[in-house]
Amino acid sequence: MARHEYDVVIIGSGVGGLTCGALLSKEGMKVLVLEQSDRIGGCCSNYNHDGFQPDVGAVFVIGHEMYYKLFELLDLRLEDYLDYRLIDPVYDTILDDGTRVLLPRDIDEMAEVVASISPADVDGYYRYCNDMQKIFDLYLSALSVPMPALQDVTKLSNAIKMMGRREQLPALPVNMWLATRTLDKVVNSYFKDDRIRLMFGWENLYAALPAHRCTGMLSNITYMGRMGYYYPKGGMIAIPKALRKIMELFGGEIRFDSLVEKIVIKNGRAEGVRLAGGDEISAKAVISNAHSRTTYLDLVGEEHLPWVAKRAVKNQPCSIPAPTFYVGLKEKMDSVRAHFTVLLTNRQKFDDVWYEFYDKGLLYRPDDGAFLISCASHDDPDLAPEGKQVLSAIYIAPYKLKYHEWDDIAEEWAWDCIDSLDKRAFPGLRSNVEWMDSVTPVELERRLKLPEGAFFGLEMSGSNMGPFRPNYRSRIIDNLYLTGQCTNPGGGVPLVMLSGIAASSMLVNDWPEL
Amino acid sequence: MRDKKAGAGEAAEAPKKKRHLKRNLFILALFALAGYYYGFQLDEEKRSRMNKLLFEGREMWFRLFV
Repeated sequence: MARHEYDVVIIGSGVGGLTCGALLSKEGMKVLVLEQSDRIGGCCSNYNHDGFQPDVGAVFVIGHEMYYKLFELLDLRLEDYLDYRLIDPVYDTILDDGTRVLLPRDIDEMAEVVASISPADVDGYYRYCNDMQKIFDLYLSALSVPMPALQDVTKLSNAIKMMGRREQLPALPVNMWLATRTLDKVVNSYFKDDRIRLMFGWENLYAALPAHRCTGMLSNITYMGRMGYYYPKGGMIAIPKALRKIMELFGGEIRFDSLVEKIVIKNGRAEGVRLAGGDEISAKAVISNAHSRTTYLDLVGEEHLPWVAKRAVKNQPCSIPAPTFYVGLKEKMDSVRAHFTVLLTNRQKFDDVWYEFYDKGLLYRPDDGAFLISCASHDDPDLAPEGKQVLSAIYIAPYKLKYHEWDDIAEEWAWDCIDSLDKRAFPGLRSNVEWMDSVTPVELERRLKLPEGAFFGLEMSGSNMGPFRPNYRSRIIDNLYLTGQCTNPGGGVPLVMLSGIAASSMLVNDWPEL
Repeated sequence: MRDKKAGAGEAAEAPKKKRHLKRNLFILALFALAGYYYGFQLDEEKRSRMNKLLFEGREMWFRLFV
């Protein structure tokens, strides 16, 4: 014990790393979190450019019930650390034919919106809500079980207690039906009109997969919009900030500008980390919140990997990147009517983005592209200088371009996109821009050390989920644990929190034998 | 005596097995050829989807060791 400086060293201060930091510090372990940049949060963070503070990565709180479960484990009250408010209307949606509708949270008000576009789809909409509510009830029922002690969280008996409840039975057939179909097939079975189908079928992008490749279970995300999307005061970075505060309350430490170069491995065991400057920090266990490819290929090193693992890590596909451009506006714009504005094309163009452009490494015309625009200062004016506004626009584009280098076209492409937004959604946008930052997939890789700029880590398809996703407890290196979006269940703040809880639980269980 | 008979039976079985093997190999080759031909008939989009599926189907098993 005495020869280790820390009990646990955590690489990366993303939500997963900080969740582990807070939970393990509470268990009395001496924890150190190492962050390569000067900001916490990783993919749930923000930038600050002269008072413009757009979110980086996660843009809203969904499934906040999971947050309560984490705070239950920490024996703290969530309300004392986080203040978030409901986003309503959920989206300002602009369709290809010029239709612009505010999508309300309320189920019946939403039915009126559906009726205004396609009256024939109202029945399908209620059928959809009925089925999705069953799934949502199952989720709530699983989370209604009181949290056991941290070391028991990953025990099978606990999973059975959470998922084996009688009231969950009605959701099973719907669940099976959704799990065996792709999202586009699920949406098509409820709705007839292509515009409605698109309105209910684009949110798979939060799981960073095209609709024809992602599971129908994700159709539930759109429904969760009806249950409420939330936004924390202070922006999304308020979540990692709260976790940091809790970790420090229990005695955990964090160091910024500390880039980990290698995980020190002796006799197949992780014994600490070596920093870029050459300093070594010894620890009894190491938790990596980095991408699994970075963890194994760069930090552990190929020399420590058997060929099977090397092959698996190298060939595991990353999720799609989420390139974004950030815009600080000189004046508030009335045309920004909601926290989120979604620009959709027609069904054919939307599909073409995948088949004709993304898969072939090509860029489409911005006018043919879909955008998700988030206005952080809409719900929290403090996130922009007084009287000004900040927007971030996320779009779909491949990591590798066939005919260009991202660095050569980043600015030009972003201005083309701004022109398109000016034309399609926010008249006068271009002349109102005070500051613009174009973060391409390559730039994302550089800034956040994310291979291929993949915000969601690894692809969330069937062959990359469950046992096919890197394990929390490394199967190759002893005393090495993984957390974050590359482990189960996948990308997204509540899911990453769950991965942090699971990794911590495993470590606490292993602790006597380490 | 019994052993001898059994041995004779095995000897008679051997060319039969060989024939079975040859026939199975022939059927496999036919399927492979049909698959190859079918692959060329697919349009580019379907072919790339199929390739991706085959790639994932092969590689996913290695992931169990990480």
